Formats: sequence, C-alpha cells, structure tokens
Amino acid sequence: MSVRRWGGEQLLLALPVLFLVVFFYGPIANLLREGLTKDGTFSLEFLRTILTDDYFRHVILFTLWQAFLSTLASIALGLPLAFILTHYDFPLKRIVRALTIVPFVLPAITVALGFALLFGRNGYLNQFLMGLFGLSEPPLPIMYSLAGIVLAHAFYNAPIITRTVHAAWERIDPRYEESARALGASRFFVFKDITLPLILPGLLSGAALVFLFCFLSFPIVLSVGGGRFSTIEVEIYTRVVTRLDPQFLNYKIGAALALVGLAISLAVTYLYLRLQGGLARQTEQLRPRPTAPLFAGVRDLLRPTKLFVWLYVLVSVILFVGPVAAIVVDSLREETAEGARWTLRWYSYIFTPNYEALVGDSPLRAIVNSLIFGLGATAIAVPLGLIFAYVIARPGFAWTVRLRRPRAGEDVRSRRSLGDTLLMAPLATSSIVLAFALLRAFNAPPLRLVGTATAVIIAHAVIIFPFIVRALVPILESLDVRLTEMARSLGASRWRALREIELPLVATGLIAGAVFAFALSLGEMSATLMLARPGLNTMPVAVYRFLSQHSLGAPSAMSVVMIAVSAIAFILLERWGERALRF
Amino acid sequence: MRVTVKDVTKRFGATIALENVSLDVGDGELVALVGPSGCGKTTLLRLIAGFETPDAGDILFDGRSVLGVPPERRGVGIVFQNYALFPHMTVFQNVAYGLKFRQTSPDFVWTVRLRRPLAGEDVRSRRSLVRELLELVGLSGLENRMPAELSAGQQQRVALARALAPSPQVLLLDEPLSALDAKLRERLRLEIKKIQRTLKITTVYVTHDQEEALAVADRVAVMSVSHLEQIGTPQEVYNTPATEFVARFIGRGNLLPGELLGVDATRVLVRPERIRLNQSANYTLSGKIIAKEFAGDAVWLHVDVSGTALIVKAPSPDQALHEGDAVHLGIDRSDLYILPSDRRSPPTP
Repeated sequence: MSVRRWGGEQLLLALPVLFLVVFFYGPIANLLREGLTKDGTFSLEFLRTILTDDYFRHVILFTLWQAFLSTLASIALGLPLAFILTHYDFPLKRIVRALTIVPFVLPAITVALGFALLFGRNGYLNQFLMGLFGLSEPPLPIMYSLAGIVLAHAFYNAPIITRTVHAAWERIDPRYEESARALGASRFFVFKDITLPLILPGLLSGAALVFLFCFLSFPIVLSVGGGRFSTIEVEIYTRVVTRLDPQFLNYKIGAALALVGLAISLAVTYLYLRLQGGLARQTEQLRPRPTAPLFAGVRDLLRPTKLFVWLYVLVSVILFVGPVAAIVVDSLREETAEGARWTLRWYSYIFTPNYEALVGDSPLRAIVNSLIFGLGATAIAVPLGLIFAYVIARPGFAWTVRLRRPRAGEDVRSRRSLGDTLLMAPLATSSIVLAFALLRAFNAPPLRLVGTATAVIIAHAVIIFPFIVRALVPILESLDVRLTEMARSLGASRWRALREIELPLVATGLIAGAVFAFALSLGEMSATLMLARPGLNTMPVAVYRFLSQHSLGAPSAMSVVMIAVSAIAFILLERWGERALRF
Repeated sequence: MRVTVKDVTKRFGATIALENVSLDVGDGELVALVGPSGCGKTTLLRLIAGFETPDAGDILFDGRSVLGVPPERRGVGIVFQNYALFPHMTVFQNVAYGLKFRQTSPDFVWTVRLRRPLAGEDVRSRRSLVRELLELVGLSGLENRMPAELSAGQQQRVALARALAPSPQVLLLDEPLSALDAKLRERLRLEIKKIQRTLKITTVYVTHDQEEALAVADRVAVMSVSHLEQIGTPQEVYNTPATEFVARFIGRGNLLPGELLGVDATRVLVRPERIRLNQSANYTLSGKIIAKEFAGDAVWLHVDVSGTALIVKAPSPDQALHEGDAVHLGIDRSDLYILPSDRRSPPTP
C-alpha cells in the first residue's frame, strides 16, 4: 500500500502552491533581495545600518519588549479563565468557551476604538471614575501609553492562551491526578508534578503564537500607541507611505527592516511548531473531568479561590465587555448644544454617498469596498484553501519535513508536514510586509496591480489563506476514508463519492470557513492601508482615519457593522466549526 | 490491613450507584468484585481509595474510619484500567514517584515486603528499590523508557510496580487487565495473584470478567445493579449461587423447570459439565441436538428437551455427535442445585 501515485489530487495542489509562489513567496523574496542589494549588487549596508543605528535598534528592541509584555499580560489574563472553564460549571459556560474564538474574527481596529472610548482621557471609564471620586485628572491614563498597547494586546490574545491551555487541561485524564494522590501526593504536588508539566506544552505553544501576533501587530500599536511608539511594522509603514523619497532610501531601509522582522517572526514560528509538535496526544479519555458548580451557596462565595474568581470576572468584564459596549453606546450618542442624547444619526451618516474628507472617500464607498474585497478574497482563498487542506488532510499525504525524529507511537499527522511549513510562512509574515512586497513587485508591467482593487483582494486572499486551511484541515481530517471506500465499493465513481458523500459531510464546515474568511478580510486593515488609494478605502481604514482625527460616532457605527458581521461568523463557527481553529 | 465497607450508599445526582453495600476484606485477602458494567463496582473501589465520599455508611481500615482521610494519606495503591502512567515521566520516575512522599518519618524504611528483613539488613536506596520492583514485575532494564514506548502489557506491569512502590496497605485494581488481549490477560492475572501472595497485601480486584474473578480471588463478591448479590469463595458462588442473578452471571448454567425432572421446586440449576451424555443416572432426559460449538478441549451442545433448551459440556471429541442426533442426558441427584428463592417447601430430611 506504500506505492505513491501522483494522481489528480497532487496535481490540483499545484493551484494553491502557484498562487502562493506568485503572490507571496516571489514578492517576499524580491523584497528581501532589495534589502540586501545596493545599486544592483549584494550589500549588507542597509542591514548594518538598522542593526547599528541607535534609533532602529530601539525600534527592534521595543517591538520585542512590547510583544514580551503583551504575552505576559495575555497569560495573566487568559490562564484564570482556562482554570475556571476546566474546573467549574456555570450557566452560559458553552457561550463563554465559544467566545474565546472572538479575537480571530473581531477587527483589531475596533478593539483600538473601544479602548479609546473606554480608557481615553474623555473615555467612559475615566469620566465615570473622575465623577465617582471627584478627581481632576483621569485615573487610568492608558491610551497612548505602553500599558494601553499591552492591555489591548492582552484583550486580543488572552483568549488564545485560554483556548490552548483549556484544551490541554481538559485532555488530562483525571486518573493521572488520582494516581498521584493515591501515591501520596498532596494537591500541591499533584499540580506541580502532574498538572503543570502536562499543560505546559499547551501554555508555551499558545504563548509563542501570542508573541508572534503581538510582534506583528500593527493597528493596535498605531492607534492605541497614538504614534508615540514605533515598532518594526509601524516603522516600515511610515517609511513606505512617505512619498518624498526620491532615492528610494526608505524602501531599502524598509526592506532591511522587513528582513529582520521576518527573521525574528520565523524563529518564533519555528519555536511554535516545535512546541506544538511536542504536544502529546493523550490516550482516549474514558472518564470526563469532574467539575464543580461555580455558584455553590453564599458561604462558598468567600473562599479564597472563589474570591479570586470573582475578582477575575470583574476585571475581565471591564476589559472584554467594556470596549465593545463602549462602541455600541458611542454609536448611539451625539453631543449637541443641549448636551448628549440618543441618536441614530451615525448609522444614517455612514450609509451616505457624500465625500468625507477624513476618510478620503464616502463612508458608503468604504462599506461597499469592504464587501467587494471580502467577497473577492473569499472567492479566491476558500477554493484554494479547500484544495490545499483536502490534499494535506489525506492520511496518505507524506511530504514530511522532519524537524526532529518522530517519537515512538507518535501520530503521523502531528508531524510537521511540508504543508504546514508552507502555510506558516504567510502566517509569520506581517500584513505590512506583505503589502510592501506586493507594492514593490507589481508596480510595473507585466502585472501592474498597485492602485487597483485586485491588489487589495490578492493581499487579503494571501493573508486569510493560512487561517482558512487551518480551519478546514481538522474538518477534512474528520472525514472517515472508509465512507468513501464504502461508496466506491457500492459502485459510485470517485467523483460521485466526492459529491454525494464527502461534500455533504463537510458542507457546514465549508460554509463556516467561508464566513470566517469573509470576516477576516472585512477586518483587515494593515495591508489595505498600505495598498489603498482614493476609492479603495475599506471600513477598518475609515475607522482608523476617523479615530486618528479624534472623530467619534461615525467610526463606532461602522465598527458596530463590522462587529455584527464578526458575530455572525462567530455563531457559524461555534455551530459548525467546533474542531476548526485548533491553534 | 482489614478493609471494611459498612452499609455504604452513594448517589450521583438522581442515580443510586451503591445502596447499602457491606463488604469485609480480611488482612492479606484478595477479593474480586465482579459484575456487569455500570453495577457500581468501580464506584466502590473509588470510595475505598478516597476519591469519592459515601452519602451514608462508613469505610474502615483495621476498624478505624478513614472517611476524613484524603486519598494521599490512606496508604492505598491503585491500578486503573488505562494504567494512567504519567506520560511525561520515564518508567523509573513513574515507579519512584510515590516514594517521594513516604519519607516523612525519620525511621521510615523503604521495604517491599518480599520477605522479612534480615537482622542488620541495610535500608535500601530508592534506586535499588525501584529496580527490585521492576524485577518483580519482570521489566528490568526498561527504567528509562517513556510510557508511550511500552506495550500495553508492559504498561500494566509498570502501573502495578508504581502502585506497590510506597508499600501500600491496600491494593486496589480497577479492571487491571481488560485493555489486554486474552492470552496476555490469562498470564498476567496469574502473575498478579503470585505477587499478591508474596506480598500478602489486602487486595480488591474489580473486573467484569467472571472467569478472571474465579481464577484470581480468595473470595468473589458478585454485584448486580448497585448492590451485592453474594460474597463467597469461587466454589461457593459457582456451586451454590445465592440468587438467580449469580447463577446466570457466574459460569454457564441450565435453570430447568422442576417439573421436567419431577423435583419439588420451581427451577433447578444444573451446570453443563455435570450432564452426562447417554449414561444412566438418577434422572434421564431425551432430546435432540440443535447446535454444536467446538471448543478444543470440549464440545458445547445445545439440546432441545421437549421445548426446553439445555446446554451441555461434553468432553471432546470422543463421541461423534451431529446436529439433529437424538441424545439421552443423564443427571445425578447430587448435581442438582435449587436456588433459595425456588424452594417450595423446607427440604425434608
């Protein structure tokens, strides 16, 4: 059975691979080459410049530092929820658990907006606290500070920690802990010797992923940091959008910065893959973990563990629910001469076709663009992603890149295949660097795409592609090959088996994947901001432009529209994509 | 250590797992708890281990209640069905894990009671103790393997060695062999029994396999849903079952209407191997073979006696028997057993 045949399936794989090579690997390689050449010859001058210059060194170190702090904050915020989800039962637990996928579908710029509305100098929380304690200064000066960036990143990434740790924790057979107890270990030793080592791989792999996302973060640093803080991404962006650059010097510096950033993020990605590969697949668990009710009488409320739980609930309600609630409230309020009042004005405003100077387009144009780009990117990424996922999910797929020797008894699927490695590279590349690379690669014939909607759609498709594949692979892997074999033995052709057996079984997963793709594209801001020309602005770009001019109301209404789309994506993913998003 | 379970009741929500169960396990005795799945035998084991608390009743070790004692201080060793070997520790670390916590008193001596310590014998080091245990279960040389690198049978032995390492007073085995194939199961149950005999450790052995229970146990406790049906030696539960459930659950048997043999009882129990083919006896029945199963050392015959199906175990293969053949079944009076519930009148002397 080990004869490997190169059939239609492997040839189909050429389509997504070609797409990635033309629109990702090629442009990125070209960009890196630009960073390593001067006047057409190999030169380390630009790389040396950014590694020796104090300013660039500061930018690189700050990028690492904020990512490190953000990861710590995400762990601090995500770990307690993983504990609560694993050990307690409470109403709405299913919903809370499902809500941990929200960061994947909620546009980052709406988080920045929510933070501005809640924690800004005139934000709801600061106003409330000033009124409560009669203060003359806002007590939480979080906006435009490192603390703000870190907190916003934690808002965004703590749920990833919760997901990975909760998944690892729940898979621990309770009999491990019971065996340890019977052998004489107290609760403390059980946690230290058994539980902690078993959740640690999950925690570390989650932390590596969070570090990567924070390292590559752009909208939050730009908006919550308010231009005071420059990370590698922000630096590349400001250099590339500076139009006064006759020597293309900024391009060269940007390319060298992209090289450094990419080296670091690939190293982190490698670490993440190693850690994830090390996640032991546990034997089938026969006994579900016992859980206790979270609300167990009034006296129980005062136990130290429970006090800690309530404190956490309070903090997380402020931090997680607060920003979203602030956006909804702000979208319904307006300031008039007689004071603030409720209104639907902002909603009618964002659907007007009138030119808005702050955006550079009409708000309606931005909404329409978002829809077009979203549909276009989905139409490209989902079919290509499906082909890619289908081929690498086949049990016989064996292009294994051995990062390390497989352990005895290790599942072949958990080995890092070439497919995974191909995929993780786009995930490890920031949207800013991708857009920069596309700008450089397609600004001349034969493919002059810069300034066209096509460029934005392609950028979106490349960005969402790895997410789509990672969402689809588990769904396709769950397909029992024997079902197809049974259909074929009953006389169905390969094509009929695909159409009548496999597709109906994964249909709901596919729809969830497509909506997920659409939501990701809708929320994408970084690449769009770099590629956008007048007439090509999208909702997140419009929100960013409003926000940077401190114009509120309209961006909130627009964010509510985006949040609504995210909510639909969230509900579908929760329903149909249970196994998806297994990061 | 004597383990006493006294009138224990345990509920999980609305379902009653155990109702008024009492069980006495003598010092050094091996009692097998046997019953169909879901009858509460694992719950009883978990109550003894301290993972669950009874809703009513008491659990005593040597006459002292252990209800307030957490599992880590009860001095029990436990082996689970899936072994629950710590996946991130080597075989050595797994076995040595329990020793870490038995260092509390200065005069603590790490000994497995394979034999009485000789006068002046040295206290053994942890390393040599683990070695000795692995030798006892036949796994020398595998100290540095990870659990995932072991076969199921080897994992089972490591789990046993790990449970025995801290010299527990009580050994609890929860379906220790049911994840293994039949051949290995038979070999390992013998080894477990041998080790239990050597260490003279009080043992409760939970299994759903009545054959295994009869093979290993000093006494067998048969459970049906949430209560104990009978406790007795393997011979007692087999030959003189207390209830119909025990009669049907332990071994194969024929519960025949009393009228068939002209006995004054509702039903009589006759074990298949007690029925003799074509030989005269106190009672003789005529029937027809309707099915035949060849079992190597024996032949199982399904015989129809005027509408009643009987099962007969005949020595193989000395008789040429075929489906459809007429046979005479001979049963001796001494091979009849009447269940207490089926007795119509007090037996006349």
